Amino acid sequence: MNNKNLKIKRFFKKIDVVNLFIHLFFIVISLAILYPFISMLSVSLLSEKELLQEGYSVWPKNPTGEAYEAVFKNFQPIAKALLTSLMVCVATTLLTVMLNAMYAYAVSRPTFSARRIINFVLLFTMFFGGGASASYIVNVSWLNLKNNLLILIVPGTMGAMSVIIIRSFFQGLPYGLVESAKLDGASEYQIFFQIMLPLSTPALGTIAISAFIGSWNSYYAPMMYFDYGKATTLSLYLQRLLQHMEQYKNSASLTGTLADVPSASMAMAVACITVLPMVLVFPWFQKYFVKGMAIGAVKA
Amino acid sequence: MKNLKKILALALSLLMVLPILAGCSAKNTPRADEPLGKDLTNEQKFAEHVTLTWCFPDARGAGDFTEWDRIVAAINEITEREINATINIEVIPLGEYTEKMSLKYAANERWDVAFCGTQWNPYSNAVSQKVLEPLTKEYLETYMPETMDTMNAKYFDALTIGGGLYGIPLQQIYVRQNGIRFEVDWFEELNVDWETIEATIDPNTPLESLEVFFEYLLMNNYNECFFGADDKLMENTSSFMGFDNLISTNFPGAIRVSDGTCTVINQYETEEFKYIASLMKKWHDAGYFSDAALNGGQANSYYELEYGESRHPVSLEPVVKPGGDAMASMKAQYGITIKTIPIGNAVLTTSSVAQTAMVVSRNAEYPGRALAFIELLNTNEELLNLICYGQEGVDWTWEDEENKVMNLDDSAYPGNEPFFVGNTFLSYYVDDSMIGCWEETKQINENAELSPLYGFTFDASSVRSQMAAINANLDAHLEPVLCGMGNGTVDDAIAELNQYLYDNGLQVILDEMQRQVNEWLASKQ
Repeated sequence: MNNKNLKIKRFFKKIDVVNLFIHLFFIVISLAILYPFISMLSVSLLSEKELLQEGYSVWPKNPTGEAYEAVFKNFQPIAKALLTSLMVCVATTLLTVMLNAMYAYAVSRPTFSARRIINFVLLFTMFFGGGASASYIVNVSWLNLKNNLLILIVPGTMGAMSVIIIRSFFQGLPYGLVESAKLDGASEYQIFFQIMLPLSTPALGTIAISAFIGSWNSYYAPMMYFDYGKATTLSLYLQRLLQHMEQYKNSASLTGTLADVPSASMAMAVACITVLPMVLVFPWFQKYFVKGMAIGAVKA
Repeated sequence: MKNLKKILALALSLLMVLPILAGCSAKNTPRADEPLGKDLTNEQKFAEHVTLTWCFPDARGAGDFTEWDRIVAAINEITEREINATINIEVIPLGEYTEKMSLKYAANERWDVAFCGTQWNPYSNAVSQKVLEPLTKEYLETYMPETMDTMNAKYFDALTIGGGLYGIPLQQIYVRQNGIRFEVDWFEELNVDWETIEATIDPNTPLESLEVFFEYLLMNNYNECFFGADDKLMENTSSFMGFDNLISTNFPGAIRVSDGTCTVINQYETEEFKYIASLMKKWHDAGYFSDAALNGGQANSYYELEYGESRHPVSLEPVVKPGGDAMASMKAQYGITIKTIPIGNAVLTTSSVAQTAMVVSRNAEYPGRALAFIELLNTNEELLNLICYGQEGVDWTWEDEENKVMNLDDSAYPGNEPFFVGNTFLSYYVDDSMIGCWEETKQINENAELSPLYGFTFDASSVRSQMAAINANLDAHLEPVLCGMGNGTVDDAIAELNQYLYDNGLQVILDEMQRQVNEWLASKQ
């Protein structure tokens, strides 16, 4: 008996009870976050009939790929949209990181006399936006960027929040680094590209992933600035596919072929396809993301 | 430093406002000197070759069609031959149409011809933004002689705002008359023929008459959901209840068509609405449709649960039309027959005519030629059917050429709805059951009762904030009542709905509506 009590005591000594509850709490939270994603995946594998008869379920009884088949029926346009999306995302990410880092470096230098004014201009854009109409007028009437891929890349590159995050990071680095590099005869560009940038990977990683996700999910800009058939990003293509499918289902002289398309499972399949690249990319940047956000939060 | 910041803030704010001001500025395309005169020949009118931009609402994905260029080339062959114009078709998916057109207006972007309506790219908004070309008699007589000769002038009244005409109504069914839609095959399976159905429906209490069928279906082991209840109940019963709505069927504010005084009322406070809401509650509680009515707005029918197809033995229809594209569609998709019994009066209202129209941009360089193109869509059978169904012999063949019935069985071209394009009455029949329905529809339009508010358009600009407040949560408050699932008794649910409406400024809207109606009535005398 004594021996048993001793074992129990030893067991509780080994595990930290508070830690156990914290872990349990976060396991529950993680499951709650994960559940919608699992449902999304499982509904995308359901047939329309099963969905209507059995309702939503986590484990489909008879999984089927008919929703994915319907989405990928026309492979060529979807591949084209995917390529466009990738191209836009990569260009936006590179440009965002480079421009914001350069801007942030300039305003982080205490020796730069105009930094307060430049900071103010930047902060102004955080509180006041141009709105859809004004942006559209500038981009279409003034800059003539309609049906031009630059419209998906350029306007989103500069962001006040991104600059603040990187600026805070630069300010956290010892200024002695810059001074000693100068003493060693390094030019401003060498200091920036060879010393400051390599030391700022957490902040740059955060900006890169935000830019990539933002650009990937962007639906409004491609919709507004591109005429039909000119260029489509994946999110817009899939959104239009869903729209058309609903219209097909309700439309008048439909001749049969598309009437059986599973609408709910197809919507979920579309969501899975859109999310998949993010799921693949995010783990690579995650450690930077958490670290970088913390920098921005504490020192902004 | 502080002053510098202030100056900078001011400068940046100005920079932000500048584009808006630039958008509003009159950076108009120079207007071409177009010949005017009734007696001009086509050679005189169309001597110069022009290019027109047509904003085309794509309802079915025509723009995605792999051979869309072939269709466009065929369209241009006709327009170049008839009016010496090349049409640059700017395809805009229907779901994006309203938003894209709004930005085009704001940016003063160049376009020539566009679709306007009540639901998509609202006509009254476009008129109030002054982006549409006022269509003068001189222009209309020169460039749209056939439409002007054949179309009843009363239809133009619906699009006349502040004494000016800015659009041409697209010809289709204008009359609003609700109906009960039966899927006849269901009843035939249970040995109930169409004659019995027709005889059972009492014209005075048509909805209650349906209960006999519901009970019969229950007796025959159809367990649930044989009535297609949905969130469009107001649209489907509005004319049956005798209302002409000033904004939309769901938005409060209407007049009773039979009421000569044009008194603006909140339809949700009327006995007519209470009657409908009570009936829905009764039917819901009796199990004629399920709570699924609130999920996605429509109850899944027993048939849908069983076979994965959306069908209900009985449902309500917003507009009864002879032949009807919905009927042809159901036959084409499922091989089933649907028939409709009209309920309530057939009424011609402003919004029922203004729901589909074609307009010309105020920025158009050749407004006359733009009108000539609209005339072509209204009068040229070949062009309309090419846009809506594709090329004869390639996308479709004749099933019965004499009666103009086409066979679309092997067509891959999604096409478009004729009512987004031009004169529906010129479109070929897609099913032989439709033969003669266009003539019948025209007669229904001509003989319909005119709403006392016919020709009146409500200008909502002064009550936009109240409307936005009500619209923010209107559906969430309305749908449970419409689907018979409100809290407590029907009276309680209706009271809760009205409380929400008045708390968000309905009285201000009703007063403004009444003021404008009175003004309009006074101006007519």
